[in-house]
Amino acid sequence: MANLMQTHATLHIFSKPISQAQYQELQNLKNESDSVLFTRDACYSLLAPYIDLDTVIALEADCEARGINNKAISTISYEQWVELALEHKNTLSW
Amino acid sequence: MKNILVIQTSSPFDGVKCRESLDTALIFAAIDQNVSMLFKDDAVFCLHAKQNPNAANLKDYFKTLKMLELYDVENIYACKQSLELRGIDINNLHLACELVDNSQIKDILNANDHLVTM
Repeated sequence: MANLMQTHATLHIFSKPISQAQYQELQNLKNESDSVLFTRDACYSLLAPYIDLDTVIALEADCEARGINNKAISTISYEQWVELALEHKNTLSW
Repeated sequence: MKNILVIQTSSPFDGVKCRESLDTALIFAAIDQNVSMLFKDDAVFCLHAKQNPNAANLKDYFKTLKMLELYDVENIYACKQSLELRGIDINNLHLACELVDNSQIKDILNANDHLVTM
């Protein structure tokens, strides 16, 4: 398990719609090596013009449930979410 | 007969709030009141097209929304600003509704006898 871990990287997890102010707050706190994951209602924010789609990952089932099917979004399964969590030193739920 | 406005502000996946608002509107319609519905804030996500809650193992609330038409609830309003802020495509909404700006919403609030929120 130890070889999976990227030192000092954090996985930022969102589960509610994200306002522009909150997104700015994320940019202020996030390191280069960190990842950002959108789950549940946060997936709706993939429609918002102020979100940079290249820098976020979303949960596939939650996107499908909410009618979000933009090809530019990288999506992952529940199993990949577990792997992603293990690859990071910490997870932060916003 | 009273003019009643039911205001929705929560996302359709946020617990049962949207479902309860809808039930309230349908009950008022069933007892012949003049019901209107306003989608505002995160509730405008109800209007995004082609959603499939079954993918998250949830009951299809979006089908139930279509009941508004069946019960002759004709005045369905959506806050234009809320839609634009969230990047929802107004040309492809799940439900036929009238887009209103904030000054129109003020008028609608004044025009009704009762305002209901969940």
